[in-house]
Amino acid sequence: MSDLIKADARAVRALRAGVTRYAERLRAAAASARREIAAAQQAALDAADRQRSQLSRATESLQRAKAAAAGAPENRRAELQRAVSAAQQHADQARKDLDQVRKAGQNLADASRDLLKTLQAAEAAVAEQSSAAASILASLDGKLAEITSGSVGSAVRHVLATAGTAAQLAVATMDVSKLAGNVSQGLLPTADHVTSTAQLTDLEAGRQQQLWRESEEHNRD
Amino acid sequence: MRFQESLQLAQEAQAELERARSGSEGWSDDLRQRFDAARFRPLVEAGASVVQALKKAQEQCAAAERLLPR
Repeated sequence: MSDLIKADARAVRALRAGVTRYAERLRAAAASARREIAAAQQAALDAADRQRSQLSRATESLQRAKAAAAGAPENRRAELQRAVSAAQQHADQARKDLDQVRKAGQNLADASRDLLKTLQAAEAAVAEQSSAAASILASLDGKLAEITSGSVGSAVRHVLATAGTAAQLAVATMDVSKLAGNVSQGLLPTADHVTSTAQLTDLEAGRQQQLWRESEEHNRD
Repeated sequence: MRFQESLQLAQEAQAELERARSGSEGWSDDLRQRFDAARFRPLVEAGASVVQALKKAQEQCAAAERLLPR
């Protein structure tokens, strides 16, 4: 019996540690994602600043070219008009690039909003569920430890000794002190009355559901 | 490509959870089903939603950054 319960206790501890590591990694993933989306948004903001400067310079060049063309003598007018056209093209391109960068910034802002919303909801769920899972598993761990350490009454241990793994786990989910009390008060049959796994499993099936609910309610409180 | 690290971490977290759950194989079906329904499934779903959101963000960021000048 002891080896089986110890194996169950190891499984419970492994699951408890796994849930903890899972929560830690998911938090790290969320933190990394927040850094990435912030970096992408910053890159878009920097690009928008550069494009605004380029547009400003292109607009100033265009105004200078237009002023030069307006006061130009006849023999230079065609040449300066070509310069105005080139400056106009340059300014148009700078405006187009700025619009594109602004669009990229807006798309990144939308992506960021969606991602952060999902991360927030997932982190809240993971925090709540992993904490409750860790608590339930800690409780199971403690109960298995009580069984293996021999603090459970000999009658109960004898019942466990006659039962299979399923029944041992059913007992492990329950409040062991309550079970031991019930045995001492004659509310549960002792090993003299229970001789098979089937009997014990039938006996515990109804109570297990109730105790699981109690455990869940306790952890919610 | 952005979100490589976070995607890897989220996928590792999911794998970690599956590995941990495999340790409960010896549990009674009833106990495991109760634990799964009450605690395990919401954790898996939360992790899956993060992975999905990261993949979507990866695509959205790549598309947006293609619009930025080189």
